[in-house]
Amino acid sequence: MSRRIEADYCIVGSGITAALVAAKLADSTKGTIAVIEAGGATTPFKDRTLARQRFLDYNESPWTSDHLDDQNATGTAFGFSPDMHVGGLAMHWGAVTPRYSPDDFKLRSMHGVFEDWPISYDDLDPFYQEAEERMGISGEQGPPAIDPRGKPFPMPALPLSPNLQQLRGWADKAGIAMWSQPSAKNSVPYDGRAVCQRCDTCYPVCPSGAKYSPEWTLDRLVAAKRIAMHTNVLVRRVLADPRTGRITHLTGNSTLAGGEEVEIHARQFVLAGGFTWTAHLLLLSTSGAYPNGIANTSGHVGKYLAGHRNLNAHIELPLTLYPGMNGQHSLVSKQFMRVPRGNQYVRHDLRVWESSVGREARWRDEQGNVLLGSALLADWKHRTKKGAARVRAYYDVLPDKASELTLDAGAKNRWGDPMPRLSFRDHPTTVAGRAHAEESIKALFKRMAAAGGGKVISSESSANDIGQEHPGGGCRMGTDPATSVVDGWGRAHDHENLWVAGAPTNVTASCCNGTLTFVALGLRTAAGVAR
Amino acid sequence: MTTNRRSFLKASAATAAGLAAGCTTERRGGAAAAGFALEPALLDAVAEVVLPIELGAERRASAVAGFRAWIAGFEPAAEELHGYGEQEVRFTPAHPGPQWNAQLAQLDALARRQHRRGFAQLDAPKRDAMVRAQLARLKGGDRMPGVLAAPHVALALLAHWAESSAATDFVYGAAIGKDSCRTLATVTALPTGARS
Repeated sequence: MSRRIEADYCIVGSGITAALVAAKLADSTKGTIAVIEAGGATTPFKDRTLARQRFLDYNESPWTSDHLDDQNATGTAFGFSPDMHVGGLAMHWGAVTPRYSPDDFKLRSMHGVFEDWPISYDDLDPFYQEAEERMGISGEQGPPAIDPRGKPFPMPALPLSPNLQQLRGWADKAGIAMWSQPSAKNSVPYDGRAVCQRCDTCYPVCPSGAKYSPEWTLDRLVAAKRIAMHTNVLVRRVLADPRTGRITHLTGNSTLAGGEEVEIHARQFVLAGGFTWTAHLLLLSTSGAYPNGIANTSGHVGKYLAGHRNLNAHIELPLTLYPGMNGQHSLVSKQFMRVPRGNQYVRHDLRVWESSVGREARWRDEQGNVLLGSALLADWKHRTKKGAARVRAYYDVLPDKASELTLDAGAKNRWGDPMPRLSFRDHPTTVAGRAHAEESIKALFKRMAAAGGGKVISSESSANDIGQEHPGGGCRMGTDPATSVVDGWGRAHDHENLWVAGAPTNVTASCCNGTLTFVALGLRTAAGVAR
Repeated sequence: MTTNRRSFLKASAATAAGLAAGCTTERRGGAAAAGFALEPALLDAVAEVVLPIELGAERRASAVAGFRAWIAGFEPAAEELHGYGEQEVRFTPAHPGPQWNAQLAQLDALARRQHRRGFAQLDAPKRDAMVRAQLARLKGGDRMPGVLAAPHVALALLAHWAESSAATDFVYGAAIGKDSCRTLATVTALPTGARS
């Protein structure tokens, strides 16, 4: 005897995209909504102050119930793929919310590389705005030519500390326009949540509630009886009627002891479990009628995984900076997200933080002598005479079709389902241009250091063996059903009542943090579902 | 400061045995931490030579108390934060307290062998020289280790202080309040005491 869940709309996953899809459906339809989450409840808000302290003192996880031990990806999965609890990975996030640039959607048209998305920046602008208003984003607009937007941010920008004020002056000298990084952190009380208290642990845990995280939305929807939250249910298969192509129901199991079987019936199904688990579920859902899995007539499910890499450096500057003022907040520039006409293709963002690198206490001097007591203090004070900045640039990495998620028969969960295996691979355009991109960014860092009378004291590239950052793709959108999985609204080409929301639909991953775009795409999908 | 060496070693051994039998501290909303204690007189004697004298007695006592509280609250095998780029769930290691107590006991034993007095009874220059000699044998660079990773109790104490908000404020001569939750309204101003 299996448990049966019925609703008009079924959303698989309860992360940030799923939560805001649920909110939009709740606002724009009268139907019943079931949200299905494989994990359990997250750490309650009342426990987060203590959890933060344990993290600071002992590096303990504030989110100890956020994963299923037998549900994990192998390969180069940047990020914590088994993150399964209410709120998903966005319980950990740093709440950094840049928009992609208009160029991202028109790479072929504007720069002659890769492909255009089936939608434009202008198509997404109202959904960006809606995402910013629903989450609560503090921000200021950069120069409109490189940072266009239809309406102002819902909250003023997070104010700049004296450190960031000085660093912005330094960037000005280097000819770079920088501004306060838009963030899902309240600069004023917003939506019933507190103003930021610069606790400086946004990642991994905000104790004040000033940072947006999905459980705020989900708890409110549950309290209002607008959604039914079904935790500890792992969806393992999607089933379709081969005559009509319509999805009939989902099947899965309780992840609690006993593993009760569960069936979920709905009119519309929205898969919002992130880039790993969405493609994985579709690939698992094979049958005689669908030998390659659901929504996979094109063979593109799991393909074109997209992310980006970064270069970062620490620059010593003749500035007096005070580490710990609001260290997770940064300056940002989109100046380099547009390629000047005639230049070789390189796109990247740029962020600047205060840094304590090279300013910390040390216990040995250059000669290897042990420093204790007064000598240690004198050495430390001397090292703080100059300041340091951390600079980082995410650069565009265009995905190859063979950048893919496959099923790994060598790693199975308790029900015998093969786990996902991730393998990122660059498109030939990126392979050919990677060295130039990295050299260009390093040259920029050196130029910035020189402009401030400083020097680069360390630099590194993101490790390629852990995959790419802010990943998406695997169910990319497109107008051609032969080369894409969903249309520009996130609707599966093969199944009229199946939708994919957020990160998996990305065609490319831009060169900045992706979460806001994932949510905006999800809200656009919700608009399509509600229609 | 007096140390009964035999009782100290006995207590250390008993604590280590308790840990081996699965005794751990409570955490997060449970009962008060059972705690693990380093031998107080020896720890104070180490603190006097590794922490800057410029701190004064009150700040030094506060630094030592903070370190003691840290040790008392430590829980082995607690789940660690799994950061971006990490797929593996990791857990905190074995309690460092027994090893650190053993190092304190070793300092004490060495003092008795070399100077015929307990470590805590030695004058500061002798204690300083003994701690330096211990640390000089350690491998690794100049970077202050994380407290848990510190290979010697003297370095653990130093690292715990150097990580603290109080130490940062002391070194910069400004009330920065690192790691504290503070009002956003004052973020645009230099911290009190800062050089303008």
